[in-house]
Amino acid sequence: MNRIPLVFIGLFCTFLFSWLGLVISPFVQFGKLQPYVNDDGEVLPHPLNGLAQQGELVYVANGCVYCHSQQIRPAQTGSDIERGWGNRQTVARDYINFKTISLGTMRTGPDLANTGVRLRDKQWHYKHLYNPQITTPGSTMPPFAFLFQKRPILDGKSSVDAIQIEGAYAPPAGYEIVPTPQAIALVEYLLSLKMNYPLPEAPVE
Amino acid sequence: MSFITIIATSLKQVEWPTSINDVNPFFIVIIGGMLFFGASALWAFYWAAKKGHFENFQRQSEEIFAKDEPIGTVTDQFPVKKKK
Amino acid sequence: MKNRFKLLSASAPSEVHTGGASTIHLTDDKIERAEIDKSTRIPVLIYYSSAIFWLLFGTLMAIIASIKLHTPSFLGDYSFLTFGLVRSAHLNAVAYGWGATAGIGTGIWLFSRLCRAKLVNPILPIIAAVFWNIGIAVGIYGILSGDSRSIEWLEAPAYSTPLIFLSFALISIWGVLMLFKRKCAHLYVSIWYLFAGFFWFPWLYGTAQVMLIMEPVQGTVQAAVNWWYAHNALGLFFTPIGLASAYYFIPKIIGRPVHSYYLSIIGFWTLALFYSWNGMHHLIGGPIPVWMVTASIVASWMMIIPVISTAINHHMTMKGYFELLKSSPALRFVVFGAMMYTASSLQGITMAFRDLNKITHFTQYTVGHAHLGLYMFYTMMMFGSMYYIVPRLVNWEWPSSTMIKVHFWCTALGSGLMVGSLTVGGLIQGLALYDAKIPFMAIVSLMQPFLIFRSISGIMIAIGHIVFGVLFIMMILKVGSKQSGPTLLNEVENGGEKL
Repeated sequence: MNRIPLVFIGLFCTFLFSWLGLVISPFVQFGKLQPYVNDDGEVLPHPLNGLAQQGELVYVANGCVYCHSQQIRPAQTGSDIERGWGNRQTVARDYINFKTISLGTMRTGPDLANTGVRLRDKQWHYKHLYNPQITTPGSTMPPFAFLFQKRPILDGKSSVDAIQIEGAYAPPAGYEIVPTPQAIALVEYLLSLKMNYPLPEAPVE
Repeated sequence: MSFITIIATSLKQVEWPTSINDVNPFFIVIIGGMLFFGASALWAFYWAAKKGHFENFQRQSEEIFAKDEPIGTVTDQFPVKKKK
Repeated sequence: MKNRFKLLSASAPSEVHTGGASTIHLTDDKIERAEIDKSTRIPVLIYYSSAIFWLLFGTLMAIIASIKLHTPSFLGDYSFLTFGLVRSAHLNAVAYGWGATAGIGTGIWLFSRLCRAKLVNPILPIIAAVFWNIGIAVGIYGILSGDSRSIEWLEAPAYSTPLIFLSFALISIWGVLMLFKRKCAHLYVSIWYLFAGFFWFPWLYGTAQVMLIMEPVQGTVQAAVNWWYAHNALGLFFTPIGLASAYYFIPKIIGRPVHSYYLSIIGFWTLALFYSWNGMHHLIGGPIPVWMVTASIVASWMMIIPVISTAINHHMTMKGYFELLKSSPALRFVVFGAMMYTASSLQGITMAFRDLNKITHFTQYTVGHAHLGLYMFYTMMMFGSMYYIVPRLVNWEWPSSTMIKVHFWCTALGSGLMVGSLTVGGLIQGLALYDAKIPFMAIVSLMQPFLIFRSISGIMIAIGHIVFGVLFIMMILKVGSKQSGPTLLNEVENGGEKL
């Protein structure tokens, strides 16, 4: 073939076809979803408060999505529901409040879509982030000690914000571990992850 | 015959839209696009065949050869140390 | 060498040996080709030098990331090396740093050769290379310093990406200028693939940047655009460059035309039509409309047509010539890559099948598949291309057969071990994940040996890359004694002027 215009038109049209189908069509079909208000007046999905929105930025800046997913697949496509990671599959409307969609493609660590339902203890989260070995020995999650501050205990009174760590990972005597604003925001974000409420398009069995 | 019956029954079970306003706009884009691109692809093949593009293909595969690197010569090998 | 394979030097017409030196009288073709090669020298070498730098940097990032997966305390105190960031730096360095620059460099050389025209406006690809390198470097620095966007394949922050787009726009413009200047009778199949890749990539990248980075769309539309982009970057940019190389180098090295040109046309157009619809197979079971997922699964299966066409073509062209794999380094890498193209494509097609995907999704199986494609196909293909092209640019022969062989075996065995351990490990991981009764931490422990094997394989691959880097530097500096070989290494004279 030596006809450049013909080749060009062919390349253009085949690509345009997929661009219309997989980029523009989703934009038209589900690019402007509105929250659902249920009979109790609850707005679903729940909006994120300001601190959780800051936490989302921390989640994105540290690349958490590369080990953790945030999507529950339907029962016939995986055992996510059976595993207790959610009570129904997640749908497009569940994600309209996030600035960066972190669906994830790896489950080096567990799925997080319903962390705010399953793991509500902030202290657990702080310890787990500071060093995952504290709460989950043998975990391969990296330690995020840089999201915490090690500071001397003043006047012998430890701060109310200090996280209680015993044993091998405890700070040296006279020091305490306090979460930085980044860690506080991140945990707030994690606690806001709830996708277990029924929606018209996603009833709970 | 049963194959046709299956298709017919499935088609009857679909809730066909009654007016153009019931059709989600992007379906028009997708189905329309499929018809448009499919038809133009068929036309392009017909045009190319008529213009003789599909004759003597193998000649084009010889484009990369030349008089001094003709068909039948190998043009790469491991370096060989020159013997003094 | 077997007698039936005629080496180039033996077939050059009116060859004259005078005493110790050997000079060859040139035909017009040889002069023309040498001049074309010479015109590509600076741009292509700039791209290749960048490529090798990013390859080594990306390999280092890969090893750090790999070790962190099984030993998370490794370098655990450094916030800029946390796994999620080092992994992203690795991907950007090897995909955009190594992959794209090696591909553009090879593409530029192939374009000039196939258009039978000297490289026009070299300033365009040179500036493009500078912009590209700055863009990648700033992007990776941004990722590691906390500005990662955490969107797969698009982690680089918004302040670095316009340079990338601008750089590629220059390449696309250059490509069009070359096509206008061409002097060849017919457009060989490799040019269609290169033209396609150079045209599609800016559209892909521009769309992704606008809809994900600059004005992010709402909700899971982001996921759809993300995976439309990422899959098409593989299939409509890297794959065409890889196939363009295979379609040129296999026939060119063995001296036999492509088996069926007709099949190569079918392969090209079916790839163009079907590949671009595959993207949603990364989101099977995900929160997007099922029609999109189903369309992608169907398109993935339709890919059997171009993949089998290409496989048949490559195999039938090579049939009877496999002995040459022992004697040609470029052919070795290129044929290895071509075979792995078939393997990874067929594997990818099966992965789009829902019943397999429910096991393999979210596991190391996918990572293994990614490296089967991008490393064992694309990277090995680029190595082969560079082994053929670089001597013709610097008028020097590769200084050491042994080092070439070390490079080949370290990378071939290393990547084989890596992909093998991740594939087996990934299947085990997936089957265990699918069984809800197996606690998650048990699965984490199960994966340890496979991840450790992967780190070991990474060391092997790194050795191969370092050896290649050294070889490349030796070529640029023209280290070693003058050697003879069929890659026009004898002094080329044209009325007294040395080229």
